[in-house]
Amino acid sequence: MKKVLLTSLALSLLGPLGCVNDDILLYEVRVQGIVTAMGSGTLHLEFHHEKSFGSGDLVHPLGEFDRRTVSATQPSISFDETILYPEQKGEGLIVYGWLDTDGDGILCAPGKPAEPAGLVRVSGFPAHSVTAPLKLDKNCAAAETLFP
Amino acid sequence: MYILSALALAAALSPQIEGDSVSSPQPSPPPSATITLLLIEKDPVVLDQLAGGPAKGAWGISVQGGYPWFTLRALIGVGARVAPVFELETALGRRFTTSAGLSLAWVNLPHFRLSGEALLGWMLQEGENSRRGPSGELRLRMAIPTRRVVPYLVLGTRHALLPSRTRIEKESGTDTSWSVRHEWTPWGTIGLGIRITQRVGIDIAADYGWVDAPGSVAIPGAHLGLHFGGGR
Repeated sequence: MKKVLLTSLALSLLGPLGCVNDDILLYEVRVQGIVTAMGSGTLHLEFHHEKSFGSGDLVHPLGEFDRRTVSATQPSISFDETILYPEQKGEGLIVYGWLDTDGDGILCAPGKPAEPAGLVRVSGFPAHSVTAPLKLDKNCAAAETLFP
Repeated sequence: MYILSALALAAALSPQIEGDSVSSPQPSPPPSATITLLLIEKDPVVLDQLAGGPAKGAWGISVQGGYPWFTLRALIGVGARVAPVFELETALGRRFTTSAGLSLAWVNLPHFRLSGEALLGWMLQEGENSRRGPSGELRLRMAIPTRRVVPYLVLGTRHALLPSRTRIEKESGTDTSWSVRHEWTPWGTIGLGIRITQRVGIDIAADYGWVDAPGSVAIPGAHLGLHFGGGR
């Protein structure tokens, strides 16, 4: 008992004097998916936490931590991306995507045709390999309008 | 530094004693070379603490407080104008640095002293922007002492290494990698020391420590200091 107390005291004193500044914990996930969309172009993917910052009623939905682009010239669009999920910044995994049909890099720029978007909550997460079927069926929709 | 002939001084100031009576002071002959005692007036503590490089056996402690820096500094001369130095510094109780090193006077003239200091230690900053890691500092101290006051200048370059750890949890196991960020703090202090006695002095100064330069904003500061010591 005395030894445990002394060890706890030593750790509590030495803990603040530790040398680690940022202790980043990342979870490697391979995300594969089939995209259902009308048209072709460049697929823009965003990877979000389902919940980030705060807790309880103050919890914030979404929180982007990575984004990728995939060339989608074929009628059948699929993606296979390996991402590093920041474990300390939130929980849950959301994949949002939109199809850049006019190649301007902007979702539904004024005067341009509507572009399809969609979002999926990855149900199998956490796991090192998950599938995320992404249906782009909402025109000009940002991630914030699709979730929660 | 003043070299006095103690015998000549004593002869000039002391009344002449003849038997049980005391006569009026009389001019005395110059002291014999064989019995001349040299008294070397040692440096005041305020000079040694502010300019560094005290003589052998001279020790001093400084307590400096102001905004935002508070410092406790101890020096003890061990010979050849070399002195181990210990410092404990805090900025508003949020950032702490403990350092130990050496102080060496390169130039030591009656009205000019230049010394260098090298310190190694540990830095800890608490709060929203916490930082921690080994630190070091190279410092120049210059003073132009007169009998009562010691104008002084301190220029320093402080460095801290801030290690960070990244762990990646893979299916095959956890990969751990380390990275280190360098934090640079250039430092300047200009001030005035005042000798109260040989063993007690004070100082007032302006500080300019630019923490994490050049990517931050420097906050100018000022402090009052009390210096005391012995062995002199």
